[in-house]
Amino acid sequence: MSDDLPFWVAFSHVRGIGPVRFRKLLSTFGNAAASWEAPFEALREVVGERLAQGIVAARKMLSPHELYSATIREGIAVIPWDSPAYPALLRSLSNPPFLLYVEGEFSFCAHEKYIAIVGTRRPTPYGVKAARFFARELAKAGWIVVSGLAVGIDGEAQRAVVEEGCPTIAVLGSGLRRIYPAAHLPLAREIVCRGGALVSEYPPGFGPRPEHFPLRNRIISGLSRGVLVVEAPRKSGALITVDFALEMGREVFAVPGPIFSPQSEGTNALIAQGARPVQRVEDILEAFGFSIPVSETSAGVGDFLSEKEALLFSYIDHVGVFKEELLERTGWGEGEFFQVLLALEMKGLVQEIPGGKVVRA
Amino acid sequence: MLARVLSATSFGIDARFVEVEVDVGAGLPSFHIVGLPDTAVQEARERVRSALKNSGFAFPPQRVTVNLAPAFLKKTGSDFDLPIALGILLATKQLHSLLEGTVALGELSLSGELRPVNGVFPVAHFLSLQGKPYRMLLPLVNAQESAVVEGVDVFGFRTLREVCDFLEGQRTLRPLKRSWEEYLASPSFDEDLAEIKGQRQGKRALEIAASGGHHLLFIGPPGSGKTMLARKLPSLLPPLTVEQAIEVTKIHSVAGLLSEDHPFVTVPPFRAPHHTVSDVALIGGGQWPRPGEISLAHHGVLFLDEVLEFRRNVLEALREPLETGKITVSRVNATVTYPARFLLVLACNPCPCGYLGDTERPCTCSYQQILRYRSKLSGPLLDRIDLQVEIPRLGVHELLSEREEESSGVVRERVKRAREIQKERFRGEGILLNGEMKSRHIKRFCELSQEAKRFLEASLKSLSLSARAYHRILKVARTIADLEGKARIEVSHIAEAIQYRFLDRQNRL
Repeated sequence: MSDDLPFWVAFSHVRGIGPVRFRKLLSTFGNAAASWEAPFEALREVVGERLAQGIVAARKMLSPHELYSATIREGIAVIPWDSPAYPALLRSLSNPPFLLYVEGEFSFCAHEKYIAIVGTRRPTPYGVKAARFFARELAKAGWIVVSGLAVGIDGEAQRAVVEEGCPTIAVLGSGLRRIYPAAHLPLAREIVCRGGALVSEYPPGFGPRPEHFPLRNRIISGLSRGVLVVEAPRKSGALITVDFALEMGREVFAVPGPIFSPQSEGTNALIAQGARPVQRVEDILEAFGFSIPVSETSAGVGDFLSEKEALLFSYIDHVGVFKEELLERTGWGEGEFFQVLLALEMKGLVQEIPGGKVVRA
Repeated sequence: MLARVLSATSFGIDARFVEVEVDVGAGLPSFHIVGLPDTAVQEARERVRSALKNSGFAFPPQRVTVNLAPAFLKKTGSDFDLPIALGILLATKQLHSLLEGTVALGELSLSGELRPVNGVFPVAHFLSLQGKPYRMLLPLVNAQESAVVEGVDVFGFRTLREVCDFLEGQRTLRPLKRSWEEYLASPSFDEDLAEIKGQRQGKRALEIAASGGHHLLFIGPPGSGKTMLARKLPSLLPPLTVEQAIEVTKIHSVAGLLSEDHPFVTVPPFRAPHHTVSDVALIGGGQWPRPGEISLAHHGVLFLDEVLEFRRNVLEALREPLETGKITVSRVNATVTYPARFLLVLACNPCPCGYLGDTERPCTCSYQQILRYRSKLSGPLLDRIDLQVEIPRLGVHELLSEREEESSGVVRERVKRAREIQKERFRGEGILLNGEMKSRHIKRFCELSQEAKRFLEASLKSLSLSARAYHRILKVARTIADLEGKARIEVSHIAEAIQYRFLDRQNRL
């Protein structure tokens, strides 16, 4: 088997060879090595003219053994679908990726509680807050959060987990050496440091392509027992993940949002269609038959605040209030007002958001 | 027969004498102008000929040669029509004498009327510095603007005929006199801060900018009132002193921006060039270097709306004048230095579509687009901006608020006081305002209370602000403290100053 692995890696470099065609090749030629070296005519029989040409071209350029050892040297593990290290949940799909590239000291078989958190790339402060909250709480309850490392909900959820010092799985739509978005490269490194893993079905050097992302979403839901959608407008990639999840029989959870917020239209529609609405982390745990963890009650926020801070804090909500309005309402001078506001911000209680507003953090 | 008439021409914002020599002698009838004249000067031949005829004088049917001395100085424009005409009249004895120390400038129409020309004010000022009494014969409009210059007798005329009648003593005239003080004492602004409802943060930023001479950046969606706010800034600046007014009027005179209604500049100017402006138009230039927008905004406000739409080289060109307060423009014909000490106000949208964070319209930009957009803002220009303020688009109820709004005059008084404190403090330091402080000044003059120091350190850490932001915060806090008349910077001053570092704080969109 391990002699054959380099050829699996080689096939993953051929565009157009997915799990279905690869299995067809395996069953025809016996193993990947034989498929790789098969004559053009035989290949054409199995995968058709164009892909056969692709394979022939690829084998002129690529050397399977070099490719394989180079990948290993990079610190990237290659897990074929028949390996015991391959995620069990993913393997149970009808057509799982035949090969996963994995970076990070993470053992898929050591855990069984995986949950995906997905959502829009353009979240509202509410969505960010919800994503971070559920990610953190689920991580603390021993769940492994799976997501796509994208800007927005995905990234925020994973960042929250990392900040908690827990492992998380990021599934990429690009190769592991072409982290996308590049702005999340530090986050990706952090995930690896914290015992999580970066996963991709594409070879390390492959760049992101639009068609990769729906397939990436299939892996995200395939890896997980359930999918939590935090915020999604009507047309969102997160809803593709949900479609896959439903096909695979995974649980679908959605965070309800304001009815006027376009960023919650998708999630609210999911709930209307029967997804489980989630208001507390217990709603998710219960759905899987887990008991509710006893959370220690945190001390009241009010205890740490001066009188003025408490007053200003009471004017600030979760949606966002104009600073201009607060200035007016408090009747304080600029100096005093900003001093109190900054104090609240430094205590991590409120946060400034674009549009000249502040919101509770 | 030879005649000499003295004239002058502006050179940058200074001036030079030009002597107009006219020789009328025997020969085939002809009319020549020598002494490096440009096309406009050459065309004076036709204007002068017709003007003389239509004013009831005779044009000599002889050989007429005009020399503009010094010959190496290139002459431009129509300033010399009047002196040439007077020279011909003198040379043909139609006019009998011209007093010593008479300087004539002006364009002639074919009918003999006098038309205003550009750049007369610098000439008047130049003559007043010669230590000799001069008198100027000018078109009426130009006489209005020059009437405030002391030490020069200014006479204004409508037609060539009037000039001659005056010179022949058939008409007596008193020199026009006006005093600066009467104009400067009661500056009249078209704009007043009280016209803006709400926008307390924006107004406050203007007040701080005016007090400390801090350059300012407004970030906000379309229609949030960035331009409206910026337009009010000149009305918050202290009125121009006589020296400043002279300097600004000179520049505007050279650029030809003075008119009968506005013979001189009495209030800090406001210039808002469109974003398609070329670097030459902004900085100054041309064959004969003319002042650009930055010089026209001298002692006033330069406002660049949609600053990211300006071409990069145009913005880069602002660096030198921002540093030195002047700009030297070198061209083939001349090298001229214009002053350019202005308050810079920039405005831009928060993202490419403009609606990031807006309550009513969703933003359609991707994260990458916003980052790319913002990155255009960074760089050396942004480094010189002390105040970065977000201007949100407020709801209707904010606009309808009943509160009595402060007028510009009230704020201007506070600004004046704060500026006086600064002047006192920086005595002998070569600077006047907090915005000009270098790091050694900051170290010396920005004394923090113990509490403020701790607060600043804590907030720098928890808000992850850069070291660069640190200096800006201190400068702005100094101004806020000056506005309150406090010698030491306190916590509330620091807290407010941090508020004006919008871009440094947007690590998460």
